[in-house]
Amino acid sequence: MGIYIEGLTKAYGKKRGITDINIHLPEGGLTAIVGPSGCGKTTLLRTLAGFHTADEGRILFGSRDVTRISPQGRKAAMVFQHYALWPHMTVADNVGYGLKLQKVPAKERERRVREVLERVEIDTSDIGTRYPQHYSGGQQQRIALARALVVQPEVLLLDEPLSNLDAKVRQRLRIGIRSIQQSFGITAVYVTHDQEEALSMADYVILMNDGKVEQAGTPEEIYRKPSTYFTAQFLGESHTLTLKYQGKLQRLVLRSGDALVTPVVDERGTNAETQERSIAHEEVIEEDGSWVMEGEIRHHLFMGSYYRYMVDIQGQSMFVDDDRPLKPGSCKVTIPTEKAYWFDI
Amino acid sequence: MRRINAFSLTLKQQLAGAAIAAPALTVVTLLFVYPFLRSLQSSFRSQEGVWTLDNYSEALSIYGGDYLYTLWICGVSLLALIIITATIGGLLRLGVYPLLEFIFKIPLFVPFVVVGHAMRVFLAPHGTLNSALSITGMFNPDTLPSFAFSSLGLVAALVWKNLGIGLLLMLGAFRSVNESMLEAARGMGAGKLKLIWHFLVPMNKGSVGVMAVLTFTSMLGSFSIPAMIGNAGGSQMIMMDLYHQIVYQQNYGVANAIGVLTYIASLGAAIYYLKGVTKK
Amino acid sequence: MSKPLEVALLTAPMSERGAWFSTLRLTRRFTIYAISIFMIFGPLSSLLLWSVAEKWFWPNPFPTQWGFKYWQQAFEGKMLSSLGLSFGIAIVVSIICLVITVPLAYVIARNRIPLKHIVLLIFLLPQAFPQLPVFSNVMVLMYRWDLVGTLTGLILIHLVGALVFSLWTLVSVFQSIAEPLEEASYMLGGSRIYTFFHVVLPIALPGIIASTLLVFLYSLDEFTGSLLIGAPYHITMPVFMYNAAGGYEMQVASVTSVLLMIPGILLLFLLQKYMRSEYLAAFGRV
Repeated sequence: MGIYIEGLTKAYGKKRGITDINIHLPEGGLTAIVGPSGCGKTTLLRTLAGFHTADEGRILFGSRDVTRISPQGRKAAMVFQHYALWPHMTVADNVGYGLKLQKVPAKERERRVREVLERVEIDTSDIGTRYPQHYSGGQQQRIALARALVVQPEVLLLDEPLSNLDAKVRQRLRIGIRSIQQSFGITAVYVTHDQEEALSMADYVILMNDGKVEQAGTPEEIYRKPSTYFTAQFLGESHTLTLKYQGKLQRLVLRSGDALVTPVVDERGTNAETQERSIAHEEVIEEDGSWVMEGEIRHHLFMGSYYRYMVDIQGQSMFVDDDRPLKPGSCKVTIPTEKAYWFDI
Repeated sequence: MRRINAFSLTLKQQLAGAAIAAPALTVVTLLFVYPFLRSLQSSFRSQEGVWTLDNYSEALSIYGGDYLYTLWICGVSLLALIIITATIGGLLRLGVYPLLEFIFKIPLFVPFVVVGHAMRVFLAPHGTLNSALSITGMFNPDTLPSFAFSSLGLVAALVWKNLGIGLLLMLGAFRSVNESMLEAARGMGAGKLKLIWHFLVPMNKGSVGVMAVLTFTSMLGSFSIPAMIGNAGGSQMIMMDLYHQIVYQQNYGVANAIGVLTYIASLGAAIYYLKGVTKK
Repeated sequence: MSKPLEVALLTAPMSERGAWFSTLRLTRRFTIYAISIFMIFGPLSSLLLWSVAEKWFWPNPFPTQWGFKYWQQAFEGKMLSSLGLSFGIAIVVSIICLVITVPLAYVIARNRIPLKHIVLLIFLLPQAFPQLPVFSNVMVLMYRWDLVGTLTGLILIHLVGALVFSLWTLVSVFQSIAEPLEEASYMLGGSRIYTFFHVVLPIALPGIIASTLLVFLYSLDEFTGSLLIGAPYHITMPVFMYNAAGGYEMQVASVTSVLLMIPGILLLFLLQKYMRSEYLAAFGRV
């Protein structure tokens, strides 16, 4: 089962659309579609929903070809960024709307509405009289989720559902949405611009760039084995350094948390002056399974549980985290080879 | 959003759209656009059906003065309207005058004809304004001027009726101005009047333009008010002349020539407005 | 403020200055209110006075004899039929307007119509150009179609000018309803029609009511078309008033005026919520 997308193309006028998308989304899993704005992730989601008709290609939900089916007929439900809860209907009517359309009898409708609202942790005592506006943003999104789930769709589509909420609520709801999705076992497609959100929530991640799939895989796969420069620098807190290795200029992508910084001390035990170098400072050398570079600690930021150092390497700056307090001055930056990603320029 | 294939969708949607638009569009096209074009045509034809410019020369020679008079009255009214609405609008924006906004909305809901009649009664030689003034004892009743059947009555009525819409538009524009910009000006010592005329109005030239165009064309084409207020001899508002030609002279050629001349004046205003809008 | 006053003010002790300023402020407030009330209510009150004046001779500031004689006269005369006619026509025009503009406005708001700016502009024309010249030519056309002096003709001529109020207002109302609200319904299985009636219309209802009231008022007050097309077989209130004033029946005309004002004032109170100036800030820039 799952979702199969074959050769999907949708042009979108002046905005960039999507071109030749070929992916398989795992059944019962949460697939995140992530990328910078304009990459086509929303176009892809809306084409999956049926709001756009594909120019070319096919979409299969399991074995059903839904490419030419209207949104009403796809058996998919959607959660929107601004909740899209109807202001003129009570919470009960909002959530029960889909069931009413399915001609579910009133008593059973009420029961199922209560059940699903309890699963998303909304108090059901006054849903028949309260309106969505009386709830907080996080609660409204949970109600919207309930409305989508109660009709037992085959696919759950989420369009940046947490982008409208503040940071703390977002953190909590990430876990909430993830656990609900898992407990329902529903195939979910989750669009977000936040790569941290995608990596932390998803079973499968699709990174998009300029209308195409840049790379797809599990979060660990695409984080640790980026196939392109774009992927490497998009995920995590990354830095790109243009450095010479064995005479050739290349791009090195590394992440703040992966690098180590070692101050260079002289015989007196104090930091050496900038002028003294032991390594030809233009080169990067490999040493004991790590890449080593010469640099200079310029500034630091106190982050609470650690320090963040701004290190200058050949005129380019990057951040390195460390829990020791270090003074400005010469240093060596090392990074394990498997956590350093080299790309041609 | 059921789609069978890409082509029939567009066609079906297009037909549906056309069907939805048809009734309303037919009414306006048949009962306004078409007659409008016919009036243009008729202005160039003589009674015998020959193409000619005689209608225009006749219209201009007889009514040239009235035409100018109308433009003059509308211009003066517009100026007065802008001054009053900008001042009141500015005051409402800068301070709290709870009832004022409500008071100035009243003209919106009073019919044109009623305004005409009210002004006539108010400003007539033996009208209520003069009566009120004579109570104060400061004026000799017999020497009070008669405003009603004169230009001032027309201007008063035209301005009065448009106070509502004028204020609404001005205030809408003023309220969209950022408070911090006004605070900065106030900090440099600008008083309320300066704030209005040196800041609020220049910052909202677009909206003032829209308001000016809308009210100018409405005043130009005003028929009910001149009909009610009239004029004791002398210049007439151009619409009255037009009516005269139609009803008493049955001369559609000249009437339509007059009409076309007013279209030109309205068009000028409309072009100015469109230029402003498309510049955005 | 004049220079000597300024100097006096600035050199006065603080407590006095404070008192000065508040008196100044109060006076200014009072003046503004007084002028405004005079400007707006002056003409209106004279209508009221005239409607209850039985005998009024110059130069008395008030009528010498008060009474409702003319009210009685007006109601016993032809005015009543004009009153009924005007209200009847206004109701019919409002309903027709509603039926033909609501779907159109929705379709325009959702961008499913090509050249939507041109379409909107066409409806603006009857209010952008002087009505008298064009309506005179409409009259010629209606003669040919046998519509002059008929109720149908009257309703149509009212409709021409009224459509823009309905359409432009409704377009902005529908535009203010976010599309995801409809999309959510589609995803749950609601058809376009079902969604329109269960989601869009209920939310748009206040705006629809506001626009209907605008059309109603417009039709009630319509004069030019009614004079050309309706008279002399069907006389609406404004035409009736015009005739009365022309015949120097000032009191009857004033009674009619007061009656014509009442729906307007009622509407004013009802629409107080909807006619916020902020909504009109974008008027004309759809």
